[in-house]
Amino acid sequence: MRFYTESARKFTFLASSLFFWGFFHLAGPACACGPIVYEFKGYSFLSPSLINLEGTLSLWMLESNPLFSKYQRTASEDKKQANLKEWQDRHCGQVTLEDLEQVIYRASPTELKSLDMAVRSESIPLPNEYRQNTFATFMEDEKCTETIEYLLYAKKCEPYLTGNQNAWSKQKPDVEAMNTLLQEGRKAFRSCHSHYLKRRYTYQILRLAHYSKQYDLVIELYETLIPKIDQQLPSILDGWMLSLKAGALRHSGNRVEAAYLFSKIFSDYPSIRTEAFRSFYLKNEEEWKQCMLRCGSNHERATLHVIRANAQYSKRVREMIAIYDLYPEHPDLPVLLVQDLLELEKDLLGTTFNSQRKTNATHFGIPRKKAQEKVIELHQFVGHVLQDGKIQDLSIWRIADGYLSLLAGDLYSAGQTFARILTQLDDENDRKQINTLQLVMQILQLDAIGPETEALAYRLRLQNPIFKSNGDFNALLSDKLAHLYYQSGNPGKAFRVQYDTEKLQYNPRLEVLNELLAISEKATKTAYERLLLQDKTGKDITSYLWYLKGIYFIGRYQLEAAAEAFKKIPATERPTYGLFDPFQFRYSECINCGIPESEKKYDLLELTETLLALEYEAKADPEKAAPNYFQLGLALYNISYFGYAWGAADAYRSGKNWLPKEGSIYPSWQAPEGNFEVKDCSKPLYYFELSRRIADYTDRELAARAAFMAARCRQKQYFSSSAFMYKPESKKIPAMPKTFTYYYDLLNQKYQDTDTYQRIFRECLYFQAYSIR
Amino acid sequence: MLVAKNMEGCCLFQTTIPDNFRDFVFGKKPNFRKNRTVPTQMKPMNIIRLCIALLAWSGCHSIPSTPVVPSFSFYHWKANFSPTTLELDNIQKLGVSRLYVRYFDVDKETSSAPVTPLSLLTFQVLPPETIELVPVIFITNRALIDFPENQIINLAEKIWSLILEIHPVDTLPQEIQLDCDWSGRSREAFFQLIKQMKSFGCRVSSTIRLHQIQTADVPPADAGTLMFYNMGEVRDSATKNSILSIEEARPYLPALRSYPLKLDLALPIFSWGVLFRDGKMIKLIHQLEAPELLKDSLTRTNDRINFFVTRNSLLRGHFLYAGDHIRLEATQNEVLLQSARELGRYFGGSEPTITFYHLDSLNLERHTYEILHRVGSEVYFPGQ
Repeated sequence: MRFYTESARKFTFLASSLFFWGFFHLAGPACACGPIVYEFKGYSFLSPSLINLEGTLSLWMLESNPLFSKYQRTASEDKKQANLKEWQDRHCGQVTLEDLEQVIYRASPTELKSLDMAVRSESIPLPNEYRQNTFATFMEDEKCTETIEYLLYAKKCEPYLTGNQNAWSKQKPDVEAMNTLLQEGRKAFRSCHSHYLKRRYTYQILRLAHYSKQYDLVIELYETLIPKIDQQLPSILDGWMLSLKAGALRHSGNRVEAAYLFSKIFSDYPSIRTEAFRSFYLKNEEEWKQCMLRCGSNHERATLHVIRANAQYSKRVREMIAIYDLYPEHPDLPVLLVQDLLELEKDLLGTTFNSQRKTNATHFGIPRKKAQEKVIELHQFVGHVLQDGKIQDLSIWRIADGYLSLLAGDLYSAGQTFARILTQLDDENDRKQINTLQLVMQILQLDAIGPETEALAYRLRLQNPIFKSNGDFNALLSDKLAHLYYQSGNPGKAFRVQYDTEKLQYNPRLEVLNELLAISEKATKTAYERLLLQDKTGKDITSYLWYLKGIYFIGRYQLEAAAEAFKKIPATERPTYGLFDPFQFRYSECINCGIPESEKKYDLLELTETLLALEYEAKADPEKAAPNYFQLGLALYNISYFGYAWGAADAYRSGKNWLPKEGSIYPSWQAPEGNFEVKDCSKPLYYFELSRRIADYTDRELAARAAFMAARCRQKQYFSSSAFMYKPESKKIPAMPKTFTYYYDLLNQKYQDTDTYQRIFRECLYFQAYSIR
Repeated sequence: MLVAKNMEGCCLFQTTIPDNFRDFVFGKKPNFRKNRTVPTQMKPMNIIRLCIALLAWSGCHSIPSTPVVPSFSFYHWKANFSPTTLELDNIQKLGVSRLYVRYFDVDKETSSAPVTPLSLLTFQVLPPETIELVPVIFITNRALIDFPENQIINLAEKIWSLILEIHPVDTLPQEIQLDCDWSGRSREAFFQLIKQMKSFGCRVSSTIRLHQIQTADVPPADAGTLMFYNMGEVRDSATKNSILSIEEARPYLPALRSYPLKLDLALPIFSWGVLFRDGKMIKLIHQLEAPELLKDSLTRTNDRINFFVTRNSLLRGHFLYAGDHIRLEATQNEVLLQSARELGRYFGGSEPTITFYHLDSLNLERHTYEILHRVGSEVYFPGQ
């Protein structure tokens, strides 16, 4: 290559790393060991910037979506933060939130008493830990005795108002003590001058009545005390107190009024929105109608539908239609729209080629049964909104119009819509969203594999900023390409475009290896093809592919084919794939008790050629037949799943795969096509039997060893058969059926007089147990 | 004992010879000879004894023995104990002396959350003095999945202590029942829990699901109650009746003959509506009846089993949408009697307590005292 300069090589290396880093770092079950945790895998291309989340009621609906997770927060945090903020505002921002939290939430009753004394006294200083506290010093400086009195009172109420701390005890509220506190609070309410604190006393009093289950008293106190508080300054406590009243009404059976109040709280008080949503309850249609009548405006009525829309399994579009009819500019409509789009995206985007579509269907029920109907229903509504023109800002609806066409599979119409609205949108974020969806469409439109498609994939991944801005493009493109490759009969490329070379080791398939090796033998390769043959570090994988092909054959006892594959690995590289000596006979079995490193003699080619030579000699020289067949059997047994030299026939072996499995391919979270284990013992058994029969006339010790190894093969065949009824959690090994015990019986009947038998009997406890039964 | 080890460990099977290796390998055969008496030559003294026995038998056999009466009970599965007159009336007429009362559930909200009691029972009235209360604790499978073994004692103590807190009478419960649809990952914890609960000195029984009688996993309880209901696939919209179907149950029944635990029997008298939306089961609405569904044309139906919602609405606090499908499931008396007849073939002679699930006036209006009594007779006296 004339123009292939050093800098170009560096660029290619870097580019390949980036290219495949993208492809291979797809979301997968994130666990190392233990049960497989399934995750939904799909693609999402909607940007949170499409909607103004802060002003809406349905914010938490989107929290489960990773794109919107930055808005996550818990209800209790909201409540606490809102309370502290109000205290801070009350003190004109002169106190810090941390200091307020220390006094209000963390101070013990004793500490508060010390603070009280310091605030009241001229001589007693603040306790040490509060001397730097801005709130404590403020109270001391301003002699806020009413405030500290209130804080002491609230602290006294606290044990009665935090619910049952011990769930395992059916504690009843101490009504008497709570009533005493309630009276104390009412007294303080009367004597207190600050309306700010009067409101807080009222809140504590209402809570005491609520937690002592005196619901009528809650309503009565609310009606009596609230009018006595100056309503000029709104407070978050207004919503909290209203929710106590609503709760009391619900307990008293007035569900309609209670539900109406909860809907108001849901709408007006963000800090307890979630609680209000959970507490909203109407029993039947009649109550729903009454509640609608109770509402004073269409906005309030629409809010009832927002609550319904947020219920689990709601039919969101129906509620959106109702909300739109009542109050088209309701700020929650766009949120509900996006929520529906996100679900339809999961249902319909790339479902035909998503590599995890089976898992998605099995574990998550995605796509939903009626997704097609849902997309049509939503699209009709969006069309209606766009035609109606009742909403001032229609940009989100226009984007939805195009995206719904795309999700419904009408790419032509989607393309037309995107092109049209791109000229109508002013907002940069909206335009970026359209560009994103246009790129999605471009990938979906790929319908055949060829140099152009491969070049496009290369360019997108390396050069397109929109592609780089959303990680799901990687997944979408690799899944789409893999699908097309499979369709066009390119399993090697399909595998590589989805997975790293490291994934090949678990279950190397011949067609995958052959295709990749064929590419490697091409005289001229495209840049894309060169990348296919490089691992994450940029290293060429051709030798690795020959290694995998070789062990593929050796694991299936096709020694000549294995030797041919190993020959392709440069001699200097061969030892890097391991040195083995599977010819050692052992009485006891131990998978990981290998021989010392220094004793390992054969690389894979040497081993294969030695095995072939042994077989040739066995056939050519009758005197060598028995020992050679024994050595052959021994080597093949030891390179199987059950032997210490398993690495000669398998690149990856998992200890947990010892239970039977048809086809010997085991599921594994890290192996996309399963993990193949070399469990077929028929060939070693064949050689042992040959050896035994011949040795019966020449060397009875060898015959006994061959019989013993044959017994071992039959035992493993039993463990790998459907007859093996072992229960995974049991410590009991089921008794071996008679059909598998032939060689055990043969040993006992025919070879008892050999030294080998005596040794076997001593060292193999399984055999010993069997024999003395 | 042979111990299976991970293949990546030292060896495939670490072999030590078990004490009962032979039994373990080949299975233990019952020794039929053991109890067989060896015939001996009849001696004069024996002839005299035989005559006395015959005389005694001929003299006694005309005295009527106490007739066997089916033993009935109910499950009480509500949050408040305040039985209605009809419920008390049925308790009395069926001669119920023991009532299985759900005291609380044991569950956890998330996999990392602590196991806690939920829906604690409140006794608004005391049960009749003649009635023995058997506290029933429903434990969700997820509460016990991978539950730490060293925490079982603690859990058992908490359960016992809460039972005593709720128990409205001074005497300790004679029996408690643990109800858990255990799985492979919770079985060990559940079985350990049963063992621990026994240490409090009362009898511990366990509910047994139909599918569990075919497995070798028998809970170490003093007795079991076979839950002869919830046998169909409730989530499948094509299922006709998931509560009771003798066809579904029949393949399991032969296993009853060899089930090693003494079994009582629980039979369903409840009803529910299964709400499907877009083909997906989303809710069970308990004690639902056809008139409520047909009121104001809320639904339409051709068979009074499958109801289709005609407009967006609200039912028992559940939002409904036009097109929703509600399958009404109830146990028909005829099916209940047929099931009893079938069960009589396996339970006849063993005199099980027949516990109806569950005590509620609506259920008792549909299944009258006479029907319930006939159910008992069918189980106790099959073929009569």
